[in-house]
Amino acid sequence: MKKNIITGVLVSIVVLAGLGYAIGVRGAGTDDPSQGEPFGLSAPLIVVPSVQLATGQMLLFKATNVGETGNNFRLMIYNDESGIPVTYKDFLKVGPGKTVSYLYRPPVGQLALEGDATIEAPQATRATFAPIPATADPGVIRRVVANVHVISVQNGANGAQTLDASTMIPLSHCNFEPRSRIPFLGGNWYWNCAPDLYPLKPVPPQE
Amino acid sequence: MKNLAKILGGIIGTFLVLAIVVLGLARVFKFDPGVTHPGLWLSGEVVAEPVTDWTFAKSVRGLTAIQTRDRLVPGMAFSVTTARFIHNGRLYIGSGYPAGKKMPSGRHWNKNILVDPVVRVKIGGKLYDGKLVYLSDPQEHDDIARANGQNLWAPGFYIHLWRFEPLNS
Repeated sequence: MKKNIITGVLVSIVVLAGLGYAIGVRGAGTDDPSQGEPFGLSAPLIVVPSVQLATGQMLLFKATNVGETGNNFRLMIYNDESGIPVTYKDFLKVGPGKTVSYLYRPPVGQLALEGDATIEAPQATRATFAPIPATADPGVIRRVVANVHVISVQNGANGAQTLDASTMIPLSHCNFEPRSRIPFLGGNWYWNCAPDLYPLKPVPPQE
Repeated sequence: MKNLAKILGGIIGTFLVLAIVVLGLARVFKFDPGVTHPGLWLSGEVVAEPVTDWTFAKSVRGLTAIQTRDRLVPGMAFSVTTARFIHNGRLYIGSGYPAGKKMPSGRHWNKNILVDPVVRVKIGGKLYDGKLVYLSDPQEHDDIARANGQNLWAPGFYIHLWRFEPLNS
């Protein structure tokens, strides 16, 4: 009888320890969706560097879905002052082989020259083609090619408008990668704009 | 066979007694969540008066804890620490997700509030009872994100937001 009670108590302790461990592991983050896939928070992006336009010029963004299925992605446009986008444009259900365009005319700002001199000029603009948060495939930009043109329109003598020859802006491919912990999931991300030189290393499986 | 039944009875009995004792202690003495572990009932002073302006919470230091009603075990509380945002005097509670992961995938407390939105929020040691309303208006979501820094615009990440409202609203 005494032996049975001791055995029962010991087994109960083992069961409770197992439950405690399971709860602890869940709280520690293995239930966190970011832990399920090693690269769930990684996002390849197309990055447009900061471009200073002259008065009258505009930026024409063009992106093509080279994939075989429809894709969703977002064009995020920034000025030089903030990491928060000035505006963004969602392209939804872009069909395979389809190209979408977006014409952006930056608001006028002050451009500092030498000394204290400033002139009025369009605000410098940079941009990223990125996945749409929450709903889209984080790797969607792998199936997108893009380019950006600086264009300007001339008013002809008879009132007709003509498009000047455009200038293309070189683009970069960057990865947005998780390292250590993640903000709001706890920690940091890193931009990696040299993914050819510093490829994302596979995360070793956790014990 | 008789011995096995006794052993099993002992196991179940001991388990039940210990579980009741542990939960009773947690109910009485509370069990707050930490940064990396969930909790049960929150400790703190309950504020009975409804809060109409949450601006004061911007200057309160420390994590925000949220106690939900467990959808699997009736009567059980489940609490975690999470992010809070104050915008136009309103309180919002956030839960971050990697892009491509649909809410409430993998988050027990998110699943709980989808079933029962009544929650208790702990800010600065004080407890506030209310309910959460999911923020489905993208404009309101963008306004809050713009006011709270570029982390909320990170590619590969999305923060779902809930507006905290009084129980009787």
